[in-house]
Amino acid sequence: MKGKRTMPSNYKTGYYVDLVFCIDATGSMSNVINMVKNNALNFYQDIMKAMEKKAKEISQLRISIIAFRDYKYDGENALLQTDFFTLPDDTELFKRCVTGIEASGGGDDPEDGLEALAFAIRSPWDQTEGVKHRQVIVVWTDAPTHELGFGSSAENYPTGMPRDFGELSVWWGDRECSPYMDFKSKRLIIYAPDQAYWNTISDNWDNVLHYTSVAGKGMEEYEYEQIIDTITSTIAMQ
Amino acid sequence: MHILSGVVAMNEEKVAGKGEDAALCIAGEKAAVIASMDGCGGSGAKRYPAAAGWTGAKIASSVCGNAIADWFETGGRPANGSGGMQAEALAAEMKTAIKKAISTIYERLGGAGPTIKGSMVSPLPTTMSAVLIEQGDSGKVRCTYFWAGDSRGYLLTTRGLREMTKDDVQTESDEEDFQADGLLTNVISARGDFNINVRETYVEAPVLVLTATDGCYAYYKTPMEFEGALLRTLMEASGLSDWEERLKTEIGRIASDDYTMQIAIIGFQTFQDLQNAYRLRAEEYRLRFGAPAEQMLLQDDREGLMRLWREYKKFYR
Repeated sequence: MKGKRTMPSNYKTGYYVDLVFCIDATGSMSNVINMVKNNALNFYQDIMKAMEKKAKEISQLRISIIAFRDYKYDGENALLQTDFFTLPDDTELFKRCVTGIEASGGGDDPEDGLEALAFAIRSPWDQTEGVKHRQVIVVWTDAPTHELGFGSSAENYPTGMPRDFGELSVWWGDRECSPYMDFKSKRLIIYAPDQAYWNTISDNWDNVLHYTSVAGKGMEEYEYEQIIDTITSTIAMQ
Repeated sequence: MHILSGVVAMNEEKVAGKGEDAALCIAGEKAAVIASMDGCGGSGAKRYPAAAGWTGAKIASSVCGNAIADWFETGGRPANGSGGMQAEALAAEMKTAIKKAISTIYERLGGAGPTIKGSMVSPLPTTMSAVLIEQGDSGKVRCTYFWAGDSRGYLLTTRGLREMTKDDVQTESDEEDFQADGLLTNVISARGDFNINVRETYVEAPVLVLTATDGCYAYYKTPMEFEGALLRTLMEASGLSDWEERLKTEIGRIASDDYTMQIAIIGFQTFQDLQNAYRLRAEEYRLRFGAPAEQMLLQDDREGLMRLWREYKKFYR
């Protein structure tokens, strides 16, 4: 009887995981950017190994990158968003994409992290039916955020952004209404200072894990293995 | 003479040395308690050097088990029972005991530190399912089920398996119920804002009462199969120890997690009596649910499986 079970189960088996990395790409962030670059080729294996240690499986892994800076000061380079790369098939493309990100610009101390988060929330998440999803956004920054729309005078400021932080909170949603992401699947991991608006998010939004960092120090305190462990723990978390 | 005629117990680690479950079974003349705890590895992943590097999850499940043991032994309950104390009062008392034990340990460990924040962080988090079993009035057995999170309590009668607890998980439909992937909405933690759910029932002996962590039940392809595994291994076993070993092997083969279960055997004089009592149900289960589910899985007949699940749920819940 047991030997015949060949179809994939929908009952607590592999996750369909979509990861969106929102990376502050301003001058002080070279440490994190280099970490992502140096590990891009091994990222899939590292995630799989970490999941195996937790006795959990991933059936599909996709990753997208959002590199953000400051619309007011960085013009065309203010925000870059990639499509989802399906790993391991698109590993080379993923590597090539992250290699192109250089830490530069930024203007004043705060960055446009909330715009990056808005793009991330509206990512084209996998819609496969009858499987278990995880929609995970990971933010890396060593700076607080501007108010939403701070850079709206810039020519390339995107249309369709939330009017304010309140509307962005609605986009993230709650148990009753989660318009863009699935409430049970979504996770937000923030590596950022305990400053606006990151601390407001971790104090008020559901499904958030906030690792606080020292402002302006480029996230030197966090190592790659630790980050992989956190991401996989978050995927496995119910 | 104990109120229990035997126990089948397992507390198995999926990865050696990394287990975060805990188990408890104490039996006296008039009352017994069984419990299964599952430390929440995601939100409780922080390691505490002051506790030999144990994770918050492992500490929490152990401390919770010890607190339930202390709660049970208060006032000589193993020998005397609860003296007819109301289920809700027992739950409130248990909550106080667990809360105090976890917060005391948390203070000694020096807290969680200021570096991790957010709604997904719980200091010393664990799920728990426990059953207080005692001799009730008119010859029946009083079973009081306590739980938080998705560790479960069951009753296995000769009519089938009944889930006596309701997971603290967000589910909105049979489909979601079947897939069982909701977020936990209530776990025990040092934050203290948890509930201990309670449900009381009186049952005729002989009967089996179970507690189990999700590693035991959640990795089958359908939720019905957990009962199938219990009954099949019972029918194949040559004795109580053999049943326990077969169950460990069966669940260990499919579980991708630690798995912990306590089965309290009440009122059966011999293993043969136990086996004979469930023989008819084992065959009925196989014909009505086990074999059809197997076929539907092979044919990827999801609608059929959902129909079967709804039928199964009529007795199961």
